[in-house]
Amino acid sequence: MKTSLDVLRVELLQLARDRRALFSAIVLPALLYPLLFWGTGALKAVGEETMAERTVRALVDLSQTDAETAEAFLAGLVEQGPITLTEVDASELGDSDAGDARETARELLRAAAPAAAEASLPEPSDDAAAGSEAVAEVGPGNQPDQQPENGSVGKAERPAVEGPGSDDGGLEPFDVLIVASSDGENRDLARTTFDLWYDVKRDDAREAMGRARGALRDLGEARSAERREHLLGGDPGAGLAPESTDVASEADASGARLGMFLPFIVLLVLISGGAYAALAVFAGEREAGTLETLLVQPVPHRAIAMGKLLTVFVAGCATLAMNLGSLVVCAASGLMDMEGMGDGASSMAYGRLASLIVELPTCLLLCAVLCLVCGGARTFREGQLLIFPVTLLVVIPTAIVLRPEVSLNALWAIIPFSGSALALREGLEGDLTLPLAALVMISHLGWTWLAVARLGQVLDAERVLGGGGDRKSEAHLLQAGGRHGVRWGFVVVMSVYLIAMSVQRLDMDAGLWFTFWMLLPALAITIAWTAPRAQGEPRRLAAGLGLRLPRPSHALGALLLVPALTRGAEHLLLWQSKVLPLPPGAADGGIELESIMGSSSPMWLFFFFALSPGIFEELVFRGALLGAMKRDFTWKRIVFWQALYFALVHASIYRLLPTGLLGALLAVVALRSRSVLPAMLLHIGYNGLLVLGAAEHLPFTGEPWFELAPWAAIPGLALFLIPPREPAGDPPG
Amino acid sequence: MTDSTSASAIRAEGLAKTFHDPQRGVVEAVKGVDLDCRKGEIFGLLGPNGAGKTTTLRMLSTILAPTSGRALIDGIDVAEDPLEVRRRLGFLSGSTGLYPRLTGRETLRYFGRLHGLEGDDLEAAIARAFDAFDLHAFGDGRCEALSTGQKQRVSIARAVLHDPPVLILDEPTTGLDIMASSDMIQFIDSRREAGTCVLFSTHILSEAERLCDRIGIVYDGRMLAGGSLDELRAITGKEWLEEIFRELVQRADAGEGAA
Repeated sequence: MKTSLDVLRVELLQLARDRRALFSAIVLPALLYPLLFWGTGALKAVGEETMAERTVRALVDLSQTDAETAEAFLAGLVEQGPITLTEVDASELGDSDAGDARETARELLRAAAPAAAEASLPEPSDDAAAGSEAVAEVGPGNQPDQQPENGSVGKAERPAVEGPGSDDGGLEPFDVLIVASSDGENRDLARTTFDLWYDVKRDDAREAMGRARGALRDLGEARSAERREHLLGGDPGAGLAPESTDVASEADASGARLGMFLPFIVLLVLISGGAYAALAVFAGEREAGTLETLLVQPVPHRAIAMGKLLTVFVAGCATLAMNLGSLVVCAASGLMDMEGMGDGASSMAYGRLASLIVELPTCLLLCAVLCLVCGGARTFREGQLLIFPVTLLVVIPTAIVLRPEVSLNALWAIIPFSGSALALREGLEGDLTLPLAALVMISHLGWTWLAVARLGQVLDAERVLGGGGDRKSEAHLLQAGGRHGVRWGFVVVMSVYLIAMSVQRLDMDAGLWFTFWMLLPALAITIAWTAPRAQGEPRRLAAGLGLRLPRPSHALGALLLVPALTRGAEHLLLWQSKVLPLPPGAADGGIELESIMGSSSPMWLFFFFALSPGIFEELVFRGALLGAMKRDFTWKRIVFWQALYFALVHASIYRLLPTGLLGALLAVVALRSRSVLPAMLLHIGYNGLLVLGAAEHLPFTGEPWFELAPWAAIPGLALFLIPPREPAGDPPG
Repeated sequence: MTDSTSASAIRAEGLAKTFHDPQRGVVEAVKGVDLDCRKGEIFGLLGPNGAGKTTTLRMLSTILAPTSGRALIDGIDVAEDPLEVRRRLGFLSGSTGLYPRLTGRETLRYFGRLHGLEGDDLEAAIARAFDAFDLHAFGDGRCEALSTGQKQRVSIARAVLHDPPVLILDEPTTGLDIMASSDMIQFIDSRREAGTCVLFSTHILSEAERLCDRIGIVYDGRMLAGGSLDELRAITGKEWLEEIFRELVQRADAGEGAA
């Protein structure tokens, strides 16, 4: 223990004198919440204030609705904020089909002033004629009737509207185009529709849109009340008005609110605070050469590793304490303006924060995991790469179990990290029972003991020092190819999240074309083209993409695996639906998918959901990324990264397990066959069978032979026992 | 286990080390090295980069476990009682291996405590090291601010703080300027009189010629020849160490080619 304390003292001294460590572990966590809450509050206030004061420019065509409605709407619009109104003839919008109408509206918004000047507009009503030549700007302090107060324009009065011939310059685009139409003459029976056209990319346009919606909402409510009064003499629903009273105490309410995010914060802050310390005391010291010196001192390596673990634990806990202290200060000072958090110091569930004690064994466990990971890293950068999957592996399961319908039980209690996160949430809500709290702490201490038992092996010098010191060995330690694969894998996932999904949301067909036939091929080629090569090694793009001719037996083997894989996936999803049921909100997505399945042709489904992903996802993952990784990584590490990225790119926690397993299997197939083509065949076959089967486009699913098809996996696997084809250009042997 | 029959401070018999590299497969870094280094003797391991010098020194200093063979330090088997071996060993790695944000004095205090020195004994040892290596001018400044030569002096002071009978130095003059390199050579020379056994690796021929009582030529994981300069001259028929080295390497390459 004396040795561990000596190591702890020195390592802490080192960290305390490291400005980067101090900033990330102490200063940043302390300032994070005040800056976050103050910054977002200030930005929100400034944004709202600024937008409310802006004069927006609206084009209106109210000629197709009655004068009273038009006047009431315009008066309501003026009450929302400063606005310039310009009349326009938008009748051609009604004559256009959907695609053309969008373009017509865009043209009107862009150049409406000259167009309006040339147009001969019919006046919406005689009453409005007075405003047709009036001055442009209306709004608070600048009403057409010169009344000083905002909202002083009465419903009977019509605010000033620019008419034909007004010179507005036409340089700035208009913010919103409002076109009203009515389907009848009778005011009580007719339905008036307001079409609002705007460009979401512009702040002013969004503000104008919001004001138009606000005016319509007010008008709608006023009209409804007026009609109820007219027809029924009152509101028949008034007696059904709900009056709810929250029986939860302020502590319960704020505890529940904290429970939504504090379990995440604890884990993330610990990782961020502990990771730097773990990297510094293991990988950093290896690079600095101090670890080698330490290993020849007459003390057990386990004692040194324990000292380093204590250092990481102290650093992580210090970061956590600073972070939580900052949170409490923000709550006490009223800076934390969150729904359900009450009014600050008096309502904060301070007592409930005592449940953080259940997290102590978890903190130790997480620090031990960080030490194990960083202890295995040969360089600081390699350690940084390894922290990322650890973060995902800790946070994603926690995100899954922290759903409202999951509650802590004996089974969850023993799951590392997830169990303690649930316990903390329930503790903050005031629902944690002592036996479950004890079980969480004891089980996490057990996990910690297992991790600590392995810590002694972390300082295994052969791994730490990485073998010989010659140049080849050093080049290998740099692991340029592996790092390239890991880095680009992250880029691929983020590109799909940020680019491909955005385009697919705008237009499904175009989005799928873009994703599979443009984005993924571009990424695959870029990754393969920029992959690190040895000095003098030629750049071989096709080989970098895994495009080698495989043995026919491997291609056949991959195809024979398809039925078993599909059947396995169906069973897996069925089992998962019991363990992890789809939340109610996900039902809409399911209906949407079902409607696509039902309404699309088999060819379309096969092309977009089987052929395209089978080719291009494989080209990226099992082609370019795997090609880069296999220069440096062992097959187990490759399979791990492939499973992780392939699961993440599908962006659903409900598909995480099946896609992760599929990614791992496809990686094994590609590694064994030394070609991406068998993986492509397997992927296309698997997706095709699943999608066409779900859409009921397969006529043979009920046949007896189809039931036996999964058994083809046995000869399929046997075919993979045949050694792969030697790559061209490589020496035999 | 102590081998009391041996007068050798360092003795290795058939020392070999094999690594498993994911890319290169099995790598035989050291293929059976024999050496015998006595108390008060300076023994130089001479060889090019990648010859296996560092791996040999790491096995002798208990950092790496030998794949086969046996090594004794001060009569103690490195595999059987590594902690006792480390107590009798001063080791200087290829890099200075100093904590950048500790001062020289803090560094000495830390490693002294790891060697079991406490209280007045520890402070007295630090004071002696400050005098012996003239650390007074910079010993209380952080190591990150020291020059390469100053760092090397702190490193040596750390390695000999507990007055070990055996000193293993891995390329101690690499990267040093002329003055620092000269100081290091003087220090190694001075250990002979103190009765310390010094084993060091180098690829600088003049250093080996000037300092070493005996020299071992290491190439491709093997000890090609070992002995005093005169003995090596007799084996090869060459006068200068550079010629001796070339002759032995050529013979080794030719032997491998014939096989």
